Amino acid sequence: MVAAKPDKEEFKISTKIVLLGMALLGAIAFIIFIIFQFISWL
Amino acid sequence: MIEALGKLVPGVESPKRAISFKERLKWTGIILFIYLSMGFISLYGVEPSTYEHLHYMQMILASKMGSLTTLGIGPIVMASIILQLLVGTKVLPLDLTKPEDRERFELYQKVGIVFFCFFEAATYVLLGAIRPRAPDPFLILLLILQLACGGLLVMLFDEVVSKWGIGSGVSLFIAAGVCKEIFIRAFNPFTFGSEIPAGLIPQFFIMLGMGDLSSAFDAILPVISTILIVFLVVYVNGIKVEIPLAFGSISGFGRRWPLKFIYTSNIPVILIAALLANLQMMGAMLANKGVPILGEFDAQGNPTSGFVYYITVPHALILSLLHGAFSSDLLLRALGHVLFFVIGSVIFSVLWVETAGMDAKSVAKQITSIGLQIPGFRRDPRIVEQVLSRYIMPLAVMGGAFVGFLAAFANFMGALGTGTGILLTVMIIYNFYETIAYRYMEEMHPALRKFFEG
Repeated sequence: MVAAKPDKEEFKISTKIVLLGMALLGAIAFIIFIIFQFISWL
Repeated sequence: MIEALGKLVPGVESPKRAISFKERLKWTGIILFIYLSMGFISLYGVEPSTYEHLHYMQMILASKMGSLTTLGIGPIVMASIILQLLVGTKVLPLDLTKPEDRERFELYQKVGIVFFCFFEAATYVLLGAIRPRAPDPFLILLLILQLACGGLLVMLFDEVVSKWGIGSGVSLFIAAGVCKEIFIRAFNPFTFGSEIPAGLIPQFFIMLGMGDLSSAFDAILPVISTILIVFLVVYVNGIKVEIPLAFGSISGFGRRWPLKFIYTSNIPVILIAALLANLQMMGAMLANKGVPILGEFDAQGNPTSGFVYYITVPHALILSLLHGAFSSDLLLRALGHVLFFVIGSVIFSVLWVETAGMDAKSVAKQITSIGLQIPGFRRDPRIVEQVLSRYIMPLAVMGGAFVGFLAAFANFMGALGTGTGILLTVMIIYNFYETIAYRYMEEMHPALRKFFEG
């Protein structure tokens, strides 16, 4: 059995995808958080 | 009997026509928005309380205690764990390669989810994890019903996402919950009555401005370990194991069939982490009622002795170490935590190979159908199967052990959203990307497609 480590290019793309996905989900959630925070102050 | 019950459970109909990528994206977005919003809506009649001791559980089960998503994906995961064990140990004799058995499996699962929705709702309220504002039996009943309905809604949301959206709802909710936690803990600009904002990054700059370097370091450390764990998991997730195969028609043109080193991906970790979370929850509730069989707990609900104490780890072990608070007890707990994860993860990994159709037989079929074979052998799926069977179980065991170790180890770093949470999220997002890249590429807008091709 031969284990192949991800090459540099692959690692770069995967990192980009994952960070983008996390930023997208986090940003959506953060906006909803802010909206509900303002609603609670009304 | 159970099947008849299963047919009574409301479900989401499968689409009768092919639906476009755009429409799938739309449904995924709508459900995500509703799910996250529900996490900010408090239960009616609940006593306001902090649930910091259940932080880990909330991350793993995509739950927000005291809100409509208090149960999170708990009932779905519990039903899945029980069924996996029953089928895996042949107590429930189902052959999941047959469509009719698979259908029965899904019906059983539905009945299980509905049962756990009501069971967990009742235990949470009756054993005091969720407290009513007043000891009024009507209010208690109302709380149980709200929790159960929240759980049932999550079950339906999950179905909407898997039938009309992209990927699975369960994974989407976990990833969204963890990312929410990371963002809010890192960036929260509100002060909530104290002098400084609650977010760690604003805190870091304020401490830096005041010249308090030690506090600034403590504030930024969780952010740094979060980023480090993301990189580590992305890297490990990319490791592949290559099995030598060749094209049937042209000899000499060898090809390797890559299998992921973490063969069963994050599924074993979801299951074992959910089990741990449930043990902690149950242990605290039982101790609260004077039955400390799983261990004893302090007033904040943190374990102080017993089984649960030795498999959980105090948050941010690394901070305690840096501040010199080291003890053999801490080491023992860290060891117990790792062992629990590694062993549990191996068991669920092996079971998952069977239930998910990732066994040697299924993979061999898949490989021979595209005309690849093992060098020096006749073209026959059984031969490919034989070669694969030498690799797949060891791979499931090693991959499961490794991912379990990583999930436990990451918890020592005090990262935002917990180490296990980040591990799950990174793998979920990557799997999501792979699904999109394989299935919906041709429908995409050219600019978007270019991005997905890297």
